[in-house]
Amino acid sequence: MTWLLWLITIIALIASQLKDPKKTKKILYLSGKRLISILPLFLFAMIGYALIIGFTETSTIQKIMGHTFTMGHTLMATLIGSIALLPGFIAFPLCALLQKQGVAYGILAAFSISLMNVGIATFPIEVKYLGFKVSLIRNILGLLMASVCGLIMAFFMGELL
Amino acid sequence: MTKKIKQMSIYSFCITFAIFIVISHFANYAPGLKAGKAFWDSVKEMALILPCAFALIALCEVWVKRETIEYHLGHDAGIKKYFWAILMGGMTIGGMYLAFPVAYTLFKKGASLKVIFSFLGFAGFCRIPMTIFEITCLGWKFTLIRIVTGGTFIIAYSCIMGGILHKQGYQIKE
Repeated sequence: MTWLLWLITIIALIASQLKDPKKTKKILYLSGKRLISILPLFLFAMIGYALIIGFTETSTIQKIMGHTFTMGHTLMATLIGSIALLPGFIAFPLCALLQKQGVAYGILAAFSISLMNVGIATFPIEVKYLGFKVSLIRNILGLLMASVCGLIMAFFMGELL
Repeated sequence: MTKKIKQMSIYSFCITFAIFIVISHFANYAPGLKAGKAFWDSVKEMALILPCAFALIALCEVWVKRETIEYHLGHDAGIKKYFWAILMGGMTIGGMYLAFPVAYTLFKKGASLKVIFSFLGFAGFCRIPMTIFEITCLGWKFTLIRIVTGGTFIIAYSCIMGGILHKQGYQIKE
């Protein structure tokens, strides 16, 4: 799929160059500048992700997150999700595995939501663009959303005791 | 923390990590090996996506007229603008790192803050390839409930936050 992305990008850049070379130069300058400015934060996130992958086992996660749905387990899952750094392609098979091992859907909902939205690793980049206060509020709301959605998920899946 | 100190500390962190990986390689330390491989795989993947993504964002920023964005995503655009936010959020590639530059571009071109926050929420929430994967892993019932409940929540808080921050003259930074 990435080759398609490159194809689209190159075609677009060529078209832009033909239509207005000055604008295209500005485009290349802007994208280069941004790439470089985001590089340290990006490396930081990748390293954090790699360390988590290296040092955790599935069984640890499952033990912490528990089986039956309780608010305690949900909150725990939400917190772990916010610290964890897994791309979706790894996170969802992990959730499927956990679900087969008996972890409640509600807990998994909270986990996956906080995983994708809230993040210790994405926080520096968020602060760079949105400012500290707004990023903080956004992330706290994300945690709240993860817990509440977990609750609602459990209700609809019939897991609420 | 000044910018220089922040940059220095991040780079020293990276170097420490690199040394750790190299030592793990020679000492056959399992977590280190796993971490090294995970790091390399993800960097490889992102290195291919990032330049294109930034180029495309800059292309849109330079070529798309402010009026177009204002018309579809601005303050007076009506309910439709949230559908755009959801669509754009779904089409985000490469993770949240890329959603933020897009948000900045949208802001510069006059999109309403409510739309921008909704977009950011959806970018982390229902990216199309991820969602398809989710359906395969956890079932469509799970995915549907998650998206409907989360989506409502996202639009609700985006509206509130967007409205309040707009009155305060909030700006998204470079």
